Formats: sequence, structure tokens, C-alpha cells
Amino acid sequence: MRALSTYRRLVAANLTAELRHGPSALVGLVMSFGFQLTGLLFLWVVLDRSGGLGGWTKGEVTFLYGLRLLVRGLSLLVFGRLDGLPGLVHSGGFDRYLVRPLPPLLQVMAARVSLNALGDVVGGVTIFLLGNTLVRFSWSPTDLAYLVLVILGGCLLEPALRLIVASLSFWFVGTGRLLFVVDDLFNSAGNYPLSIFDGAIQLVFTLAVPVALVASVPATVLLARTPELGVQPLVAQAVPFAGLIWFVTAHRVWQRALRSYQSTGH
Amino acid sequence: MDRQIATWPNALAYLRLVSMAARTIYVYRANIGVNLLAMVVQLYLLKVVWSAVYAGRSTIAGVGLDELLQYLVLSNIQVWLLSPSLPAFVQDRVRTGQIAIDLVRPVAFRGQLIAQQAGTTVGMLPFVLLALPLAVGMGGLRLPSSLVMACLYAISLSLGFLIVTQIGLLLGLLAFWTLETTGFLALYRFVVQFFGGALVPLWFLPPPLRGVAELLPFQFQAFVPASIYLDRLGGDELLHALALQVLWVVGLFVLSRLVWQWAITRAVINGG
Repeated sequence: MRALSTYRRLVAANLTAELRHGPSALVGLVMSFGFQLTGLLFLWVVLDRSGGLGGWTKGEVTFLYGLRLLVRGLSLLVFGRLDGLPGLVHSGGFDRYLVRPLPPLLQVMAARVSLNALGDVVGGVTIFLLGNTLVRFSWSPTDLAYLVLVILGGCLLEPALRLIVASLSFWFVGTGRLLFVVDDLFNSAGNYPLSIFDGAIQLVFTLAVPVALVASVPATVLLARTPELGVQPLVAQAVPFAGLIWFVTAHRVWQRALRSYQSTGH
Repeated sequence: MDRQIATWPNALAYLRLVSMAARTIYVYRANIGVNLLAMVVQLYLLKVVWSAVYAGRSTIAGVGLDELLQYLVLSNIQVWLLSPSLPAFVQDRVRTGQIAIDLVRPVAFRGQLIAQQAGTTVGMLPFVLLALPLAVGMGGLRLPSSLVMACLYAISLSLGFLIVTQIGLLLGLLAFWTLETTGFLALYRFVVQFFGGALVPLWFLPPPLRGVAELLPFQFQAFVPASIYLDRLGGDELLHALALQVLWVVGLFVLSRLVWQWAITRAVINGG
């Protein structure tokens, strides 16, 4: 509990620091949203040309896109990007975190509050609502409960993968760029219906690098398209729990990595 | 501040700068590898999405899937090859105060920067050889239709290089005011992806968006050279496109000169 309140105060301090650079933070926020908007614009142009993508309508794809962006924004708000970690390990600055009375992971998470994520959240909610209108979605209580689980699971899933890749930097220097590739994959492949990929790639995107589990598979379930996944409905519905499993695994990897940390500084 | 007369010793100095920048690339070859990987992933996804779009159709807007894939491979390699290195560089020089050393060098600052970008691009050329087998495998890229077209493509791409360099320089000069260029660079990247034609060829854009894209210089990094390579621009259109590129080069050159003269009056040397 004590750790939690320290964590809260660290976040508050860093948030204040971030707000000092008000205009810069605003630019970042707009950029982040703009970047995501490019992806949606691309999809819309494609969908206007074709009328559908793997059988999904423009509205359904928008629904999926909004859901993923929303989850991404929320997860970034809580977990940050972790992209500072490889640099900290490289420079030896990570040493400081080890002597402070707060778990190092919480310190890394609190080191930078990503205001850009707020742009993603606002953009995600807007696009998701737009998608809802386009497909005329009517929410049942079960759907809503499922949505909450999906958001929670997704919030754990993306950071879990980032945490694993970031942990690699304890063993291999220079994995920092790899974080961007993973991020890229979630930002691009995560926005498409799974059915447009070949069987082998579907396996990769659900099991190895589970970008499709954040929003693509859940959206398939919500939009009542589950049969196209080719698995038992129950398996598809259980997808939010994958986030928890991945996060627990990632945390294990992180702890192992921590034990083999050899400082580059003094 | 700009030196007007380029003397021979200067030309030599520029060459040295180019080769230095080219060699720097190899220090960061892991970065290039990762960027290459990111590009391959993007190309793969584009291929999947467009194949799904073409399902059951031979052409869209008069373009076949084969040609579209060639276009995407080509334009993505171009965007990767010509990606501006100057914003991060200038930002770093201004922040650390090393800009003071750059300013007393006997070669004009803007000249140094152009040489720097040229070196970066030259240094990346060998990596294109790595990307080419993939390009042929994934997109079925073939040779240009004739030697003349190949030359015209090279000219267009070179002009594109000059345009991107000037844009990169302008973004870098923003550091004199903001000390921060990362955000602007990110903006540049996604504008190039969309309005430059790396995700969608401009043929496919609805008229209002296409109109916007044609008013912007980003099409010269991806769309225009790639269209020339694929024989999509013929006769008058081609000449018109090349002339427009030259105009953009001149215009941006003048603009970057003006901005530079303004920036230097505001230069604050950190740690000086």
C-alpha cells in the first residue's frame, strides 16, 4: 500500500513536469492522434474502393479500429511506453531504481507519463462511438460486461509484450528499436479482421505475437461474427484472459531479467 | 553567414562530410536493420490488405494488383531510403551547444547539413540491395521499361531527395525556436505515409484528398518517382511533374535560406 502511494506521488510529480512543457505536450497529443487517424483514413480509402475487407463493412472495421485505439490509449496511460528502459540499462541509470524503496517496474512505469496517450483515448472513444453508430450496435448487459473484460485484458496484453521486449535489453544491448517494431505491429496488424490473413499468420497473430487478441478477436465476437474464427465460441469469448496470462508471464521474464542485470555504470 | 563562393577546397570538404556521414550509418547498422524489418512488415500487411480488397477483381481504378504491389514496394523503399536525418541532428547540435563549432567551420552550415543528408542516403544504398530480393519476391518488381525511363526515374528520385533534404533542414531549424523536433518529425512521417502515397497510391484517393496531396511536396518522395518507374506518367504529364519538382526544389531552397537567416539571429549557444 505504501508502494502504491509512492507510485501515485511519482506519477503526479512527473505529470506536473510534463505539463510544464504545455505546448510541446499538446503537439505530442495532436501528433499521436494524427498518426492514428492516418491509419483510419487509409482503411476508409481502401474500404471505399472495395466496399468491404474480408467481408467486414466500413462500419465494422471502424468499430474494431476504435476499440483498439481506445485500449491502446488506456494501456499507455497506465503503463507508459517502457521505451525509456533500454536507454536506462545502457547508460547505467537504471542503478538508481534499484536502491529506491519502490519496485523498479513501478518506477519505470512512472518515469514518464505519456500525455500522448490521452490523444489516443479521446480519438479511440470518438472512433469507437462512430463505429457503433455505423453498425447500429445495440448493447446488451452481457456485451457491456464483455467489453469491460476486453478493455482490461487488452490493457494488460500490449504492455506485456512491451515488457518482454524491454526485458531483453538486460541481456542484449540495443533492443530499444525492437520496441517500436512491436508497437508498429499492434498499430497496424492489430486493426484488421483476423480473417484476411493466411492460416499460419493467424496463428502468429493470436499465439506468438498476439496483436489480434487486443481488439480484432473481441470485435469479431461482439459483432457476432465468431464463426469466421474457426474456433469454439467459448475459446474466442475467453480471449480477455489471455491478457492476464501474458502479463503474468511477462512479469516473470522481467524478474528474471532483473536478476541478471549487470550495471554498465558504477 | 552563407558563403557564396564554392572554392575547390570547399568541394573537397563537402565530399569529406558526405563520406563521414555515410560511415556513421554503419555504426548504427542495427537501427537500419530494424527499420528495414519494420518496412518489410508494413509491406507484408499492405500486401495482405490489398489482396483482400482485390479479391475477385482484376483491376481497381485501372490498376491491377500486380502493378499495385510493385508500386507499394517501390514507394516504401523510397520513403525509407530518403527518410530525413537532419531534424534529430540539428536538434542535438542546438541542445548541446555544439552548433557553435558548426558555425565557425569554413563550410556554410546549410551546406554541411545537405552533405550530411547526402552521406546518410548514400550510406543506406547498400542496404537497398538487401531489400531488393524481398522487393522482387513480395511485389514482383521488374526493371523499368526502358533506359530512358530508368534515367528519368533517377532524375525524379534525385529531385525528390533534394526536396526531402530541404524539408528535413526546415524541420531541423525549428529546433532554434522549440529545441524539440521529434513531434514535427512524427507529423512529417505520417503525412508522407498518407499524402506521399506510401500506403495508397494517389490514384485511389477520392478527389478532394487527391487535390490536397497534389498541392503538397510529399508526393515527390514516394508517388511521383514510383509512377515514373512504372510508366504511369507519360509525355506532357511527366515533363510537368519534373518541372514541378524543380520548382519545389528552388522554392524550398529559398525558404530554408530565409528561415536560416532568421534562425541564426536567434541562435543561443548552450553551454558556451
